[in-house]
Amino acid sequence: MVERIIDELKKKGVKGEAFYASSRMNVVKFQDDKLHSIEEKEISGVGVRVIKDGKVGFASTNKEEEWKEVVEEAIGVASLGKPAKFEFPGKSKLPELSLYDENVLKIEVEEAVEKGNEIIERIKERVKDLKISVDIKFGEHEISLGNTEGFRGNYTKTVHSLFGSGFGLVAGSFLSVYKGSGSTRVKWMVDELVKEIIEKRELAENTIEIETGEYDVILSPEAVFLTLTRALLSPLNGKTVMKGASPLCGKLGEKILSDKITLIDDPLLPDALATRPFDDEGVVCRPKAFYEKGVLKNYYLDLESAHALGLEPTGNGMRNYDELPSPGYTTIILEGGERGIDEIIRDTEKGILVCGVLGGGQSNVLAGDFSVNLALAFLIEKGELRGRVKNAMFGGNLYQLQPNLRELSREVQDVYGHMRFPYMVFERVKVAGKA
Amino acid sequence: MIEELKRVLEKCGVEYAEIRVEEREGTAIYYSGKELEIAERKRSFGGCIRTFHKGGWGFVTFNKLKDLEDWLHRSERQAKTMKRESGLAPVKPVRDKVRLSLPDDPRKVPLEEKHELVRKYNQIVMGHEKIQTTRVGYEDTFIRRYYVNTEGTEIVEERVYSGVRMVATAVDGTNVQISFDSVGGTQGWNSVLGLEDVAERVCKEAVEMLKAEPVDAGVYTVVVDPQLAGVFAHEAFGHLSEADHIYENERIREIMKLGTRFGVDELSIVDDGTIKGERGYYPYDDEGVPSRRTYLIKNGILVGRLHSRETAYKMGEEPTGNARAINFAYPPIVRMSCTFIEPGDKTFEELTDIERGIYAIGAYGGQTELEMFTFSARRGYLIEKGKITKLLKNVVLTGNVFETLRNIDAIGNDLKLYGGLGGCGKGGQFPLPVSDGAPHIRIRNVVIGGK
Repeated sequence: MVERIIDELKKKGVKGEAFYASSRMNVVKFQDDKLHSIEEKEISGVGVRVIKDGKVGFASTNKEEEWKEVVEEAIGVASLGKPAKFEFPGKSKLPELSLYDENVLKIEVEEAVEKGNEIIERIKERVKDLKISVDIKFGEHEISLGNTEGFRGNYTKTVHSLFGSGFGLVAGSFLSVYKGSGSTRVKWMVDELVKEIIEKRELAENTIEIETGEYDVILSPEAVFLTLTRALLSPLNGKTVMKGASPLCGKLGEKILSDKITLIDDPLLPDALATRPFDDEGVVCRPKAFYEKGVLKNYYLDLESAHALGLEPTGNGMRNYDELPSPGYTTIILEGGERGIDEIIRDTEKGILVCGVLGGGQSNVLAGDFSVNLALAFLIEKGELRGRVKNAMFGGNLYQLQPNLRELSREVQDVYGHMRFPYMVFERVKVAGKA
Repeated sequence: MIEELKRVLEKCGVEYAEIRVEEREGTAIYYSGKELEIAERKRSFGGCIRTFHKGGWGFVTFNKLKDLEDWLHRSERQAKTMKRESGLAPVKPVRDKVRLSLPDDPRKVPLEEKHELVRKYNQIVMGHEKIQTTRVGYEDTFIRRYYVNTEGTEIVEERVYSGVRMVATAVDGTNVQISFDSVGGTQGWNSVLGLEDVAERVCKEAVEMLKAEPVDAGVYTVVVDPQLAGVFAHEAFGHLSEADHIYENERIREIMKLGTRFGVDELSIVDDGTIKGERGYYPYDDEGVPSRRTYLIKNGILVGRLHSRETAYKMGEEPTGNARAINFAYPPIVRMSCTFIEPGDKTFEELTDIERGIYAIGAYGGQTELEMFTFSARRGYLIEKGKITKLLKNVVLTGNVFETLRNIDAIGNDLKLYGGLGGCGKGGQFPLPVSDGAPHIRIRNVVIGGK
């Protein structure tokens, strides 16, 4: 398909590229302690981007037999398209990655059903008042990309993910606890999932209303993900930088965050869901630091934003087959610190351990603002967890909070197969309570 | 097409099966700052087969319409693997053809005219030196859907969505402020014309917000504008009325017991999929059930909820035509249509006649976890002695929905509905076209997060 489209483009004398994506996925869902649905999906499609008379055109379809019309449509809309300020990359040597685990495709639906039932039974033995939901996905994605300038690449990636959650009325209020994992290999994190949900439920037995005041706030890896990911990463989006809308414009090489922060984008990390040899525009992928000891090192860029900013493309062009590429990140890793989380909690006089939040990423993330409801958080007094904090909010600004960033935990945990985060400890920050 | 699908269903070996096939085509044109960013045409095509057998569901989806019988049997095997108890509430079979007959069908408007419209709005949104960048665009999507099931329902339906979206980003040093709005629905090309005033407001608000002060965290009386109140009606309360959340969980069922008082007599909340022209309008849901108007709260009392055929069966109630899927690749689940708070009799001046409080306007976004919600207002004002005074930013409301509903003490007379180009997300299905709205409302004792 990609070859045929490129031949057609060459025949018409226009530069262009064809991006083909196909996916086959099985989804087994349990809801409220019971098997809820079994689904099988098979979807594919192709997007054609052209440069005609110096302007960009794009069209897409998932009806394969319409590929010729789509080439015509892409050339057609190019007449009012934006000026093309980039070149398609040529042929290059691609890193060899192991993305394919045939065991993923050997998973039977019946086996997935058994695993789900096992998870639910094991949790329900200990915890009666939570309704358990489980999502199991397994399948493969295929990407094939080529352009008229000589780039050809394709890969097939298997994926397996597991997500479990417990939900119910505990001590007079709703409680929601969850845990998930994802990988390109078969990875049944059943024990971890069961343990997490049982532990959190047991901790939630006592609820406490806290007073508005200053606390040491410890964000769990999952809470870091929910609270700060967008504030950390949105201003690094090459498109936003290119337009001058990011507060980090023109600040490469400057110290922006605490020197405890080293933040890496790693597209080659083994087994991670976002791992890939080349990006969706044909740029070879490589790991890079966004921040090194608090110093801004890189933005994430697609071809267009790299060109506009006069920087090398970073291999962060991302898309679905039916859309134009835009900058995106792969697996994000925040490097950990010295001490273990147990020791950190033991040394906390008056603090809050935050494990789940509501409302992350809804404030003005570009400016670094965040404000979240502490949906699952525990009061720490004299080094011990006292009970679940209710009706409290934690908000502020990422940049202004840097002096309060006391430490990061030694443990760096996988969050859903997308990110690796440590616990983050902010000292003496304001938390709004209702007591 | 319908005949072909019916022939496949003749081979059905389980209790129930349905096939849905969709064709879509659409246009998107976006400006970003001075430059055209996106000009694209999209087509998509695909189908799905859902089967039901002894309480179990099977669901397969594909975009190559060959080997349909094979897909049917795969779906049947899935349904047989599931062992559970359930059923489908009976509905009358429907045979209908709803062909699109808009006088101003957006498909007939030349690409160049759409481009010109976007360019014009973008010029207005960019109209201040502090506006660093914009994102202003137009989108339309035409959908033709074929639906058949083994009970004799056959529907061909056409629909077209169109709308514009405008975002302005104002920058002053490291201070970045965003303002946005979106307008659109199912009523055709006319609905996106004459929005110069909206574009002006988006520009002006972003610039003004550069001077806004952060709100002090605390507990306030809050007057909420129709847009944010609509988001509250949808996010905080509407999702709780979706019966799939309710039927398995006894405790939630207890809280959501019909007949329970949830608010003052003046409070009524409705979900209505029959309002033509709204983004949340549809004649039939994705189980072939006609849409309808459903009261969720009437005069302060919980009186109804939203159903698919399955949840209606399980709870012994009537289907409400709320089983919807974002497209052919997803099974229908219980969703809202156009959800709004009915107007009361208070004027805006009566609502703001308070000692001290906050006027919260527009929504950045909202998130809920059943009883708990947080919403970020786009902007806010301090209210002092009945007067609207200081402009505020970072106004984030949080609380418990049941307490908050009880704390609504006054309802305005100025209902507005909002559709635009956005949508609702649930169960991995986003964005589903919906509308929401409300008049201005006043709520006592709201926790506002901030500095």
